[in-house]
Amino acid sequence: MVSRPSGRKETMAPYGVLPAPDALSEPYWDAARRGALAIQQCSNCGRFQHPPVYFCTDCHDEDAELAFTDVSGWGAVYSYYIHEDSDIRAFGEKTPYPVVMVELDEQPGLFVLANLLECDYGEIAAGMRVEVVFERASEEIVFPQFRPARDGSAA
Amino acid sequence: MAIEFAPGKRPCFIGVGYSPCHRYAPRSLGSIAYEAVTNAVADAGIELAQIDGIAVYPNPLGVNRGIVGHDVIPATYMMRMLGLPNVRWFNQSNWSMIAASVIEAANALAAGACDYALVYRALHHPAGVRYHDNPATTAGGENQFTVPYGHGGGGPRQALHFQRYLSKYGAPREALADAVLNAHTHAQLNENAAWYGREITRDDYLNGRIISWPMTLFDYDMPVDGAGAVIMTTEDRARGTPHPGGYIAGHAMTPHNLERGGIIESLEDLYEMDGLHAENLYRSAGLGPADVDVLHLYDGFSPMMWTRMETFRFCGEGEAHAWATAERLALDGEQPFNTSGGNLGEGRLHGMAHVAETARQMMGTAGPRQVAGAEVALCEVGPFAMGASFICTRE
Repeated sequence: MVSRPSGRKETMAPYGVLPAPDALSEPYWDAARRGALAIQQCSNCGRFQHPPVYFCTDCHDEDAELAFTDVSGWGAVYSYYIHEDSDIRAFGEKTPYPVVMVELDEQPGLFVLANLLECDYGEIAAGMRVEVVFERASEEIVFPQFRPARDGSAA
Repeated sequence: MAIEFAPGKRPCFIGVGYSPCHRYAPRSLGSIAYEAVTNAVADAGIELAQIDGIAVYPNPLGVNRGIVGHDVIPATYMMRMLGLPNVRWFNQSNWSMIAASVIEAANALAAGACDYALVYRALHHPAGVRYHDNPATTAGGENQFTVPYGHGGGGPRQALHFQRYLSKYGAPREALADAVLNAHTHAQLNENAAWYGREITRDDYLNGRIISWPMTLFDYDMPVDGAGAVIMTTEDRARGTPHPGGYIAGHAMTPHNLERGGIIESLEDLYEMDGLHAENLYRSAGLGPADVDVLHLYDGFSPMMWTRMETFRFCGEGEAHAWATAERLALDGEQPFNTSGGNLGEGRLHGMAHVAETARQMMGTAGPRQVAGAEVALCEVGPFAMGASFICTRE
Protein backbone atom coordinates (compact mmCIF):
# COMPACT_ATOMS: atom_id res chain seq x y z
CA MET A 1 0.00 0.00 0.00
CA VAL A 2 1.36 3.42 -0.89
CA SER A 3 1.97 5.84 1.97
CA ARG A 4 2.74 9.50 2.47
CA PRO A 5 5.86 10.63 0.60
CA SER A 6 8.79 11.53 2.82
CA GLY A 7 11.00 14.57 2.48
CA ARG A 8 11.63 18.05 3.75
CA LYS A 9 12.15 21.45 2.10
CA GLU A 10 14.40 24.08 3.65
CA THR A 11 13.58 26.41 0.77
CA MET A 12 11.46 26.49 -2.38
CA ALA A 13 13.96 28.75 -4.18
CA PRO A 14 14.68 29.16 -7.00
CA TYR A 15 11.10 30.13 -7.89
CA GLY A 16 10.04 29.27 -11.43
CA VAL A 17 6.70 31.09 -11.41
CA LEU A 18 6.49 34.72 -10.28
CA PRO A 19 3.36 36.76 -9.54
CA ALA A 20 2.26 39.54 -11.86
CA PRO A 21 1.22 42.22 -9.33
CA ASP A 22 -1.77 44.34 -10.33
CA ALA A 23 -3.65 47.29 -8.82
CA LEU A 24 -5.43 44.96 -6.42
CA SER A 25 -2.46 42.87 -5.30
CA GLU A 26 0.39 45.38 -5.32
CA PRO A 27 0.12 46.27 -1.61
CA TYR A 28 0.40 42.58 -0.72
CA TRP A 29 3.69 42.19 -2.57
CA ASP A 30 4.95 45.58 -1.35
CA ALA A 31 4.41 44.40 2.22
CA ALA A 32 6.16 41.10 1.60
CA ARG A 33 9.18 43.00 0.27
CA ARG A 34 9.49 44.78 3.62
CA GLY A 35 9.02 41.50 5.50
CA ALA A 36 5.37 41.75 6.47
CA LEU A 37 2.29 39.71 5.69
CA ALA A 38 -0.50 42.19 4.86
CA ILE A 39 -4.09 41.19 4.22
CA GLN A 40 -6.93 43.21 2.69
CA GLN A 41 -9.36 44.48 5.32
CA CYS A 42 -12.78 46.12 5.01
CA SER A 43 -12.95 49.61 6.56
CA ASN A 44 -16.66 49.18 7.24
CA CYS A 45 -16.96 45.79 8.91
CA GLY A 46 -13.30 45.10 9.71
CA ARG A 47 -13.31 41.70 8.07
CA PHE A 48 -10.15 40.41 6.37
CA GLN A 49 -10.30 38.70 2.98
CA HIS A 50 -7.73 36.91 0.84
CA PRO A 51 -7.08 36.77 -2.08
CA PRO A 52 -8.00 40.47 -2.41
CA VAL A 53 -11.28 41.41 -4.12
CA TYR A 54 -12.75 44.72 -5.34
CA PHE A 55 -15.63 44.52 -2.84
CA CYS A 56 -16.15 43.24 0.68
CA THR A 57 -17.42 39.66 0.49
CA ASP A 58 -18.95 40.04 3.94
CA CYS A 59 -20.78 43.36 4.37
CA HIS A 60 -20.91 44.33 0.67
CA ASP A 61 -20.82 48.02 1.66
CA GLU A 62 -20.28 49.98 -1.52
CA ASP A 63 -18.37 52.76 0.24
CA ALA A 64 -15.99 50.47 2.12
CA GLU A 65 -12.28 51.07 1.68
CA LEU A 66 -10.29 47.91 1.22
CA ALA A 67 -6.78 48.70 2.44
CA PHE A 68 -4.13 46.21 3.54
CA THR A 69 -3.30 45.66 7.20
CA ASP A 70 -0.20 43.93 8.53
CA VAL A 71 -1.10 40.71 10.37
CA SER A 72 0.87 38.68 12.91
CA GLY A 73 2.00 35.92 10.57
CA TRP A 74 0.85 33.27 13.09
CA GLY A 75 -1.59 30.61 12.14
CA ALA A 76 -2.40 26.91 12.01
CA VAL A 77 -2.35 24.34 9.23
CA TYR A 78 -5.96 23.91 8.04
CA SER A 79 -5.18 21.39 5.31
CA TYR A 80 -2.26 20.22 3.19
CA TYR A 81 -1.07 17.80 0.54
CA ILE A 82 2.25 16.45 -0.70
CA HIS A 83 2.57 17.09 -4.42
CA GLU A 84 4.29 14.23 -6.20
CA ASP A 85 3.21 14.90 -9.81
CA SER A 86 2.68 18.57 -10.64
CA ASP A 87 1.06 19.95 -13.81
CA ILE A 88 3.15 23.11 -13.45
CA ARG A 89 6.30 22.61 -15.49
CA ALA A 90 8.42 24.86 -13.28
CA PHE A 91 7.75 22.48 -10.38
CA GLY A 92 8.60 19.24 -12.18
CA GLU A 93 12.03 19.04 -10.50
CA LYS A 94 10.81 20.07 -7.05
CA THR A 95 8.51 17.13 -6.31
CA PRO A 96 7.60 15.93 -3.81
CA TYR A 97 6.80 19.23 -2.11
CA PRO A 98 4.20 20.19 0.52
CA VAL A 99 1.39 22.68 -0.06
CA VAL A 100 -0.44 23.98 2.99
CA MET A 101 -3.56 26.02 3.55
CA VAL A 102 -2.87 28.13 6.64
CA GLU A 103 -5.71 29.60 8.72
CA LEU A 104 -4.42 32.89 10.11
CA ASP A 105 -4.94 33.75 13.77
CA GLU A 106 -6.61 37.05 12.94
CA GLN A 107 -9.88 35.54 11.80
CA PRO A 108 -11.53 32.10 11.55
CA GLY A 109 -11.79 31.08 7.90
CA LEU A 110 -9.01 33.45 6.72
CA PHE A 111 -6.64 31.37 4.64
CA VAL A 112 -3.37 31.83 2.79
CA LEU A 113 -1.70 29.19 0.67
CA ALA A 114 2.01 28.41 0.92
CA ASN A 115 4.62 25.68 1.13
CA LEU A 116 5.60 24.42 4.55
CA LEU A 117 9.38 24.77 5.00
CA GLU A 118 11.72 23.26 7.62
CA CYS A 119 9.35 20.41 8.40
CA ASP A 120 9.53 16.66 7.68
CA TYR A 121 6.53 15.68 5.57
CA GLY A 122 5.60 13.00 8.08
CA GLU A 123 5.14 15.67 10.77
CA ILE A 124 2.65 17.81 8.87
CA ALA A 125 -0.78 17.70 10.50
CA ALA A 126 -3.98 19.71 10.64
CA GLY A 127 -3.90 22.18 13.53
CA MET A 128 -0.11 22.44 13.62
CA ARG A 129 1.07 25.94 14.68
CA VAL A 130 3.03 27.79 11.98
CA GLU A 131 4.68 31.17 11.46
CA VAL A 132 5.41 33.20 8.37
CA VAL A 133 8.91 33.45 6.90
CA PHE A 134 9.99 35.27 3.77
CA GLU A 135 11.95 34.06 0.75
CA ARG A 136 13.36 36.39 -1.86
CA ALA A 137 12.68 35.18 -5.42
CA SER A 138 13.83 38.22 -7.42
CA GLU A 139 14.59 41.91 -6.95
CA GLU A 140 10.87 42.70 -6.90
CA ILE A 141 9.32 39.57 -5.47
CA VAL A 142 9.53 38.20 -1.94
CA PHE A 143 7.28 35.25 -1.07
CA PRO A 144 5.57 34.74 2.28
CA GLN A 145 6.12 31.11 3.29
CA PHE A 146 5.46 29.19 6.52
CA ARG A 147 7.40 26.97 8.90
CA PRO A 148 6.54 25.26 12.22
CA ALA A 149 6.15 27.96 14.89
CA ARG A 150 9.08 28.51 17.22
CA ASP A 151 9.07 29.84 20.79
CA GLY A 152 6.96 32.91 21.42
CA SER A 153 4.20 32.06 18.99
CA ALA A 154 0.77 33.13 20.07
CA ALA A 155 -1.62 30.18 20.35
CA MET B 1 -40.38 27.36 -4.80
CA ALA B 2 -41.37 24.26 -6.72
CA ILE B 3 -40.67 24.33 -10.43
CA GLU B 4 -43.94 23.86 -12.31
CA PHE B 5 -44.50 22.98 -15.95
CA ALA B 6 -47.69 23.54 -17.96
CA PRO B 7 -49.80 20.43 -18.63
CA GLY B 8 -48.09 18.23 -21.22
CA LYS B 9 -44.95 20.37 -21.12
CA ARG B 10 -42.81 18.50 -18.61
CA PRO B 11 -39.38 18.11 -20.23
CA CYS B 12 -38.16 14.52 -20.51
CA PHE B 13 -35.63 12.27 -22.22
CA ILE B 14 -36.45 10.20 -25.31
CA GLY B 15 -33.04 9.11 -26.60
CA VAL B 16 -29.47 8.39 -25.50
CA GLY B 17 -26.47 7.83 -27.77
CA TYR B 18 -22.80 7.23 -27.19
CA SER B 19 -19.51 6.66 -28.88
CA PRO B 20 -17.03 4.30 -27.26
CA CYS B 21 -14.69 6.12 -24.84
CA HIS B 22 -11.02 5.43 -25.49
CA ARG B 23 -7.86 6.77 -23.91
CA TYR B 24 -6.89 7.91 -27.40
CA ALA B 25 -9.04 7.37 -30.50
CA PRO B 26 -7.55 7.63 -34.00
CA ARG B 27 -10.49 9.70 -35.27
CA SER B 28 -11.49 13.33 -35.26
CA LEU B 29 -13.64 14.48 -32.38
CA GLY B 30 -16.23 15.55 -34.96
CA SER B 31 -16.70 11.98 -36.15
CA ILE B 32 -16.92 10.75 -32.54
CA ALA B 33 -19.59 13.32 -31.73
CA TYR B 34 -21.41 12.52 -34.97
CA GLU B 35 -21.66 8.88 -33.90
CA ALA B 36 -23.03 9.75 -30.44
CA VAL B 37 -25.60 12.21 -31.76
CA THR B 38 -26.91 10.02 -34.60
CA ASN B 39 -27.18 7.11 -32.12
CA ALA B 40 -29.22 9.32 -29.78
CA VAL B 41 -31.51 10.46 -32.59
CA ALA B 42 -32.07 6.85 -33.69
CA ASP B 43 -32.77 5.81 -30.09
CA ALA B 44 -35.34 8.60 -29.83
CA GLY B 45 -37.11 7.48 -33.00
CA ILE B 46 -37.01 10.95 -34.57
CA GLU B 47 -35.38 12.49 -37.64
CA LEU B 48 -32.29 14.71 -37.42
CA ALA B 49 -34.26 17.53 -39.01
CA GLN B 50 -36.64 17.56 -36.04
CA ILE B 51 -33.88 18.83 -33.75
CA ASP B 52 -34.56 22.52 -33.26
CA GLY B 53 -32.63 23.19 -30.06
CA ILE B 54 -29.08 22.47 -28.84
CA ALA B 55 -27.44 22.79 -25.45
CA VAL B 56 -23.78 21.94 -25.00
CA TYR B 57 -20.95 22.23 -22.51
CA PRO B 58 -18.32 22.69 -25.18
CA ASN B 59 -15.00 22.30 -23.41
CA PRO B 60 -13.25 22.38 -20.08
CA LEU B 61 -11.23 25.45 -19.28
CA GLY B 62 -7.53 25.79 -19.91
CA VAL B 63 -7.00 22.58 -21.77
CA ASN B 64 -5.83 21.50 -25.21
CA ARG B 65 -5.64 23.77 -28.19
CA GLY B 66 -9.27 24.59 -28.78
CA ILE B 67 -9.27 23.81 -32.48
CA VAL B 68 -12.91 23.64 -33.62
CA GLY B 69 -13.80 20.19 -34.95
CA HIS B 70 -10.62 18.70 -33.52
CA ASP B 71 -10.55 19.57 -29.81
CA VAL B 72 -13.98 21.11 -29.33
CA ILE B 73 -17.42 20.73 -30.96
CA PRO B 74 -19.42 23.93 -30.46
CA ALA B 75 -23.14 24.00 -31.28
CA THR B 76 -22.38 25.91 -34.47
CA TYR B 77 -20.04 23.17 -35.69
CA MET B 78 -22.63 20.51 -34.84
CA MET B 79 -25.24 22.29 -36.98
CA ARG B 80 -22.84 22.48 -39.93
CA MET B 81 -21.66 18.89 -39.53
CA LEU B 82 -25.15 17.40 -39.33
CA GLY B 83 -26.74 19.91 -41.69
CA LEU B 84 -29.43 20.69 -39.13
CA PRO B 85 -31.91 22.94 -40.95
CA ASN B 86 -34.36 23.85 -38.19
CA VAL B 87 -32.43 24.96 -35.10
CA ARG B 88 -34.07 28.02 -33.55
CA TRP B 89 -32.44 27.99 -30.10
CA PHE B 90 -29.03 26.98 -28.83
CA ASN B 91 -26.90 27.52 -25.76
CA GLN B 92 -23.27 26.98 -24.74
CA SER B 93 -22.77 27.08 -20.99
CA ASN B 94 -19.30 27.27 -19.49
CA TRP B 95 -20.50 26.50 -15.97
CA SER B 96 -21.55 23.35 -14.13
CA MET B 97 -20.76 21.13 -17.07
CA ILE B 98 -23.37 19.01 -18.83
CA ALA B 99 -26.05 19.00 -16.14
CA ALA B 100 -26.36 22.75 -16.67
CA SER B 101 -26.99 22.05 -20.37
CA VAL B 102 -29.83 19.68 -19.41
CA ILE B 103 -31.34 22.43 -17.27
CA GLU B 104 -30.99 24.96 -20.13
CA ALA B 105 -32.67 22.56 -22.54
CA ALA B 106 -35.46 21.72 -20.07
CA ASN B 107 -36.28 25.39 -19.58
CA ALA B 108 -36.16 26.10 -23.33
CA LEU B 109 -38.48 23.15 -24.03
CA ALA B 110 -40.92 24.19 -21.32
CA ALA B 111 -40.99 27.74 -22.68
CA GLY B 112 -41.54 26.56 -26.25
CA ALA B 113 -38.21 27.91 -27.48
CA CYS B 114 -37.66 24.50 -29.08
CA ASP B 115 -39.49 21.16 -29.40
CA TYR B 116 -36.63 18.66 -29.63
CA ALA B 117 -33.37 19.51 -27.89
CA LEU B 118 -30.03 17.84 -28.46
CA VAL B 119 -27.70 17.89 -25.41
CA TYR B 120 -24.22 16.54 -25.98
CA ARG B 121 -20.71 16.43 -24.63
CA ALA B 122 -17.60 15.58 -26.66
CA LEU B 123 -14.03 15.61 -25.40
CA HIS B 124 -10.70 15.09 -27.09
CA HIS B 125 -7.56 14.07 -25.26
CA PRO B 126 -4.62 14.33 -27.64
CA ALA B 127 -1.83 11.80 -27.21
CA GLY B 128 1.40 13.29 -25.92
CA VAL B 129 -0.30 16.29 -24.30
CA ARG B 130 -0.52 16.54 -20.53
CA TYR B 131 -4.16 17.37 -19.75
CA HIS B 132 -3.54 20.37 -17.48
CA ASP B 133 -0.04 21.18 -18.68
CA ASN B 134 0.93 24.55 -17.24
CA PRO B 135 4.04 26.13 -18.80
CA ALA B 136 3.57 29.42 -16.89
CA THR B 137 6.48 31.46 -15.55
CA THR B 138 4.20 34.25 -14.30
CA ALA B 139 0.76 34.14 -12.69
CA GLY B 140 -1.86 36.89 -12.51
CA GLY B 141 -5.24 37.36 -10.86
CA GLU B 142 -6.06 34.97 -8.03
CA ASN B 143 -3.51 32.53 -9.42
CA GLN B 144 -0.65 34.79 -8.29
CA PHE B 145 -1.38 33.60 -4.73
CA THR B 146 -1.35 29.90 -5.60
CA VAL B 147 0.55 28.91 -8.77
CA PRO B 148 3.95 30.33 -7.61
CA TYR B 149 3.69 27.82 -4.72
CA GLY B 150 3.25 24.96 -7.16
CA HIS B 151 -0.52 24.74 -6.60
CA GLY B 152 -2.70 24.70 -9.70
CA GLY B 153 -5.52 22.79 -11.35
CA GLY B 154 -8.49 20.93 -9.95
CA GLY B 155 -6.72 17.90 -8.54
CA PRO B 156 -4.54 19.76 -6.03
CA ARG B 157 -7.52 21.88 -5.01
CA GLN B 158 -9.42 18.65 -4.36
CA ALA B 159 -6.48 17.25 -2.39
CA LEU B 160 -6.80 20.11 0.13
CA HIS B 161 -10.51 19.37 0.60
CA PHE B 162 -9.88 15.64 0.87
CA GLN B 163 -7.18 16.00 3.53
CA ARG B 164 -9.41 18.40 5.43
CA TYR B 165 -12.20 15.81 5.32
CA LEU B 166 -9.88 13.06 6.56
CA SER B 167 -8.49 15.22 9.39
CA LYS B 168 -11.84 16.63 10.45
CA TYR B 169 -13.83 13.40 10.51
CA GLY B 170 -11.08 10.91 11.30
CA ALA B 171 -11.76 9.00 8.10
CA PRO B 172 -9.20 6.59 6.60
CA ARG B 173 -8.12 7.35 3.03
CA GLU B 174 -8.50 3.67 2.17
CA ALA B 175 -12.26 3.72 2.86
CA LEU B 176 -12.74 5.50 -0.45
CA ALA B 177 -11.88 2.26 -2.24
CA ASP B 178 -15.48 1.04 -2.03
CA ALA B 179 -16.94 3.97 -3.95
CA VAL B 180 -14.10 4.00 -6.50
CA LEU B 181 -14.36 0.26 -7.13
CA ASN B 182 -18.15 0.60 -7.41
CA ALA B 183 -17.53 2.79 -10.48
CA HIS B 184 -15.13 0.28 -11.99
CA THR B 185 -17.48 -2.64 -11.28
CA HIS B 186 -20.39 -0.87 -13.00
CA ALA B 187 -18.14 0.08 -15.94
CA GLN B 188 -17.79 -3.65 -16.67
CA LEU B 189 -21.48 -3.58 -17.68
CA ASN B 190 -21.02 -0.50 -19.90
CA GLU B 191 -19.36 -1.41 -23.17
CA ASN B 192 -18.71 2.24 -24.02
CA ALA B 193 -16.63 2.74 -20.88
CA ALA B 194 -12.89 3.31 -21.16
CA TRP B 195 -12.38 0.76 -18.37
CA TYR B 196 -14.74 -1.84 -19.87
CA GLY B 197 -13.02 -5.23 -19.89
CA ARG B 198 -10.23 -4.22 -17.51
CA GLU B 199 -11.57 -4.02 -13.99
CA ILE B 200 -9.14 -2.73 -11.37
CA THR B 201 -8.79 -4.44 -7.98
CA ARG B 202 -8.67 -3.11 -4.44
CA ASP B 203 -4.91 -3.67 -4.51
CA ASP B 204 -4.63 -1.62 -7.71
CA TYR B 205 -6.46 1.22 -6.01
CA LEU B 206 -4.51 1.08 -2.76
CA ASN B 207 -1.20 0.91 -4.65
CA GLY B 208 -2.05 3.64 -7.15
CA ARG B 209 0.74 6.04 -8.01
CA ILE B 210 0.78 9.11 -5.76
CA ILE B 211 -0.32 12.33 -7.47
CA SER B 212 -1.05 14.75 -4.63
CA TRP B 213 -1.09 12.80 -1.38
CA PRO B 214 -3.57 11.77 0.00
CA MET B 215 -4.87 11.45 -3.59
CA THR B 216 -3.54 8.74 -5.86
CA LEU B 217 -3.99 7.76 -9.51
CA PHE B 218 -7.44 6.14 -9.37
CA ASP B 219 -8.92 9.08 -7.45
CA TYR B 220 -8.91 10.94 -10.76
CA ASP B 221 -11.07 10.17 -13.79
CA MET B 222 -9.12 9.43 -16.95
CA PRO B 223 -9.17 11.87 -19.88
CA VAL B 224 -10.58 10.16 -22.97
CA ASP B 225 -11.68 10.68 -26.52
CA GLY B 226 -15.42 10.19 -26.51
CA ALA B 227 -18.88 11.69 -26.79
CA GLY B 228 -22.35 11.20 -25.40
CA ALA B 229 -25.70 12.74 -26.31
CA VAL B 230 -29.31 12.82 -25.13
CA ILE B 231 -32.46 13.97 -26.90
CA MET B 232 -35.04 15.80 -24.83
CA THR B 233 -38.58 16.89 -25.63
CA THR B 234 -41.81 17.66 -23.80
CA GLU B 235 -44.25 15.09 -22.41
CA ASP B 236 -46.89 15.67 -25.11
CA ARG B 237 -44.42 15.06 -27.96
CA ALA B 238 -42.73 12.17 -26.14
CA ARG B 239 -45.89 10.04 -26.15
CA GLY B 240 -45.31 8.60 -29.60
CA THR B 241 -41.64 7.76 -29.08
CA PRO B 242 -40.28 4.26 -28.22
CA HIS B 243 -39.18 4.74 -24.60
CA PRO B 244 -39.71 8.17 -23.04
CA GLY B 245 -38.79 8.73 -19.39
CA GLY B 246 -36.95 10.92 -16.95
CA TYR B 247 -39.56 13.63 -16.58
CA ILE B 248 -37.84 16.63 -15.02
CA ALA B 249 -39.28 17.27 -11.56
CA GLY B 250 -36.90 20.00 -10.45
CA HIS B 251 -33.42 21.43 -10.83
CA ALA B 252 -30.94 23.77 -9.11
CA MET B 253 -27.38 25.10 -9.17
CA THR B 254 -24.85 25.88 -6.44
CA PRO B 255 -25.08 29.47 -5.16
CA HIS B 256 -21.89 31.45 -4.55
CA ASN B 257 -23.13 33.80 -1.86
CA LEU B 258 -20.84 32.39 0.84
CA GLU B 259 -17.68 32.21 -1.25
CA ARG B 260 -15.11 34.15 0.76
CA GLY B 261 -11.73 32.78 -0.17
CA GLY B 262 -12.02 32.59 -3.96
CA ILE B 263 -9.82 29.76 -5.16
CA ILE B 264 -8.42 29.27 -1.63
CA GLU B 265 -11.79 27.94 -0.50
CA SER B 266 -12.63 25.95 2.59
CA LEU B 267 -14.46 22.65 2.74
CA GLU B 268 -16.91 24.28 5.15
CA ASP B 269 -17.86 27.03 2.67
CA LEU B 270 -18.39 24.43 -0.03
CA TYR B 271 -20.54 22.35 2.32
CA GLU B 272 -22.73 25.27 3.18
CA MET B 273 -23.21 26.37 -0.44
CA ASP B 274 -23.79 22.84 -1.68
CA GLY B 275 -26.26 22.27 1.15
CA LEU B 276 -28.23 25.24 -0.15
CA HIS B 277 -27.97 23.78 -3.65
CA ALA B 278 -29.40 20.48 -2.42
CA GLU B 279 -32.26 22.08 -0.48
CA ASN B 280 -33.18 24.19 -3.50
CA LEU B 281 -33.19 21.05 -5.66
CA TYR B 282 -35.43 19.15 -3.26
CA ARG B 283 -37.77 22.10 -2.87
CA SER B 284 -38.01 22.58 -6.63
CA ALA B 285 -38.84 18.90 -7.17
CA GLY B 286 -41.07 18.41 -4.14
CA LEU B 287 -39.03 15.29 -3.40
CA GLY B 288 -36.29 14.40 -0.92
CA PRO B 289 -33.33 12.04 -0.63
CA ALA B 290 -35.53 9.23 0.70
CA ASP B 291 -37.46 9.27 -2.60
CA VAL B 292 -34.36 8.76 -4.77
CA ASP B 293 -34.00 5.23 -6.19
CA VAL B 294 -30.96 5.82 -8.43
CA LEU B 295 -28.25 8.29 -7.43
CA HIS B 296 -25.68 9.83 -9.75
CA LEU B 297 -23.13 12.19 -8.20
CA TYR B 298 -20.12 13.76 -9.86
CA ASP B 299 -16.91 11.79 -9.44
CA GLY B 300 -14.30 13.57 -11.55
CA PHE B 301 -12.31 13.55 -8.31
CA SER B 302 -13.30 10.62 -6.13
CA PRO B 303 -13.60 12.43 -2.73
CA MET B 304 -16.45 14.51 -4.17
CA MET B 305 -18.67 11.44 -4.02
CA TRP B 306 -18.43 11.46 -0.22
CA THR B 307 -18.99 15.16 0.25
CA ARG B 308 -22.04 15.22 -2.05
CA MET B 309 -23.56 12.14 -0.39
CA GLU B 310 -23.48 14.24 2.75
CA THR B 311 -24.57 17.63 1.42
CA PHE B 312 -27.45 15.99 -0.48
CA ARG B 313 -28.36 14.27 2.84
CA PHE B 314 -28.04 10.62 1.84
CA CYS B 315 -26.07 10.32 5.07
CA GLY B 316 -24.99 12.68 7.83
CA GLU B 317 -22.03 15.07 7.81
CA GLY B 318 -18.75 13.18 8.17
CA GLU B 319 -20.47 9.80 7.73
CA ALA B 320 -20.04 9.00 4.04
CA HIS B 321 -16.75 7.19 4.56
CA ALA B 322 -18.63 4.59 6.59
CA TRP B 323 -21.93 4.80 4.66
CA ALA B 324 -20.61 4.38 1.11
CA THR B 325 -20.01 0.64 1.15
CA ALA B 326 -19.79 -1.60 -1.90
CA GLU B 327 -22.98 -3.40 -0.83
CA ARG B 328 -25.00 -0.23 -0.42
CA LEU B 329 -23.95 1.30 -3.76
CA ALA B 330 -24.40 -1.84 -5.89
CA LEU B 331 -27.11 -2.19 -8.56
CA ASP B 332 -29.15 -4.34 -6.16
CA GLY B 333 -28.05 -2.40 -3.06
CA GLU B 334 -29.92 0.01 -0.85
CA GLN B 335 -28.77 3.05 -2.88
CA PRO B 336 -27.69 2.15 -6.45
CA PHE B 337 -25.00 4.67 -7.32
CA ASN B 338 -23.27 5.83 -10.52
CA THR B 339 -24.66 2.79 -12.28
CA SER B 340 -22.79 3.16 -15.59
CA GLY B 341 -19.47 3.75 -13.84
CA GLY B 342 -19.51 7.54 -13.58
CA ASN B 343 -16.51 9.45 -14.86
CA LEU B 344 -14.15 7.20 -12.91
CA GLY B 345 -15.28 4.10 -14.77
CA GLU B 346 -16.38 5.48 -18.10
CA GLY B 347 -13.87 8.29 -18.66
CA ARG B 348 -13.70 12.04 -18.31
CA LEU B 349 -16.71 13.40 -20.19
CA HIS B 350 -17.45 15.82 -17.34
CA GLY B 351 -20.74 14.39 -16.14
CA MET B 352 -22.08 12.97 -19.41
CA ALA B 353 -22.02 9.49 -17.86
CA HIS B 354 -24.23 10.74 -15.03
CA VAL B 355 -26.70 12.52 -17.32
CA ALA B 356 -26.95 9.70 -19.89
CA GLU B 357 -27.36 6.99 -17.27
CA THR B 358 -29.95 8.99 -15.37
CA ALA B 359 -31.90 9.21 -18.64
CA ARG B 360 -31.47 5.49 -19.42
CA GLN B 361 -32.50 4.35 -15.94
CA MET B 362 -35.65 6.45 -16.13
CA MET B 363 -36.36 5.43 -19.76
CA GLY B 364 -35.93 1.78 -18.80
CA THR B 365 -33.13 1.28 -21.34
CA ALA B 366 -30.15 0.65 -19.02
CA GLY B 367 -29.99 -3.02 -20.07
CA PRO B 368 -27.85 -5.13 -17.72
CA ARG B 369 -27.56 -2.14 -15.37
CA GLN B 370 -31.28 -1.45 -15.11
CA VAL B 371 -32.29 -0.96 -11.49
CA ALA B 372 -35.52 -2.89 -10.97
CA GLY B 373 -38.49 -0.72 -10.10
CA ALA B 374 -36.57 2.56 -10.15
CA GLU B 375 -39.02 5.48 -10.18
CA VAL B 376 -36.90 8.52 -9.20
CA ALA B 377 -33.33 9.49 -10.13
CA LEU B 378 -31.10 12.32 -8.93
CA CYS B 379 -28.25 13.58 -11.11
CA GLU B 380 -25.63 16.05 -9.87
CA VAL B 381 -22.65 17.17 -11.94
CA GLY B 382 -19.77 19.60 -11.42
CA PRO B 383 -16.75 19.90 -9.11
CA PHE B 384 -16.32 22.28 -6.14
CA ALA B 385 -18.99 25.00 -6.22
CA MET B 386 -19.72 24.35 -9.91
CA GLY B 387 -22.62 22.00 -9.19
CA ALA B 388 -25.86 21.67 -11.14
CA SER B 389 -28.47 19.01 -10.52
CA PHE B 390 -31.88 17.71 -11.49
CA ILE B 391 -34.33 15.11 -10.27
CA CYS B 392 -36.43 13.21 -12.77
CA THR B 393 -39.01 10.44 -12.63
CA ARG B 394 -39.92 7.28 -14.53
CA GLU B 395 -43.51 8.41 -15.18
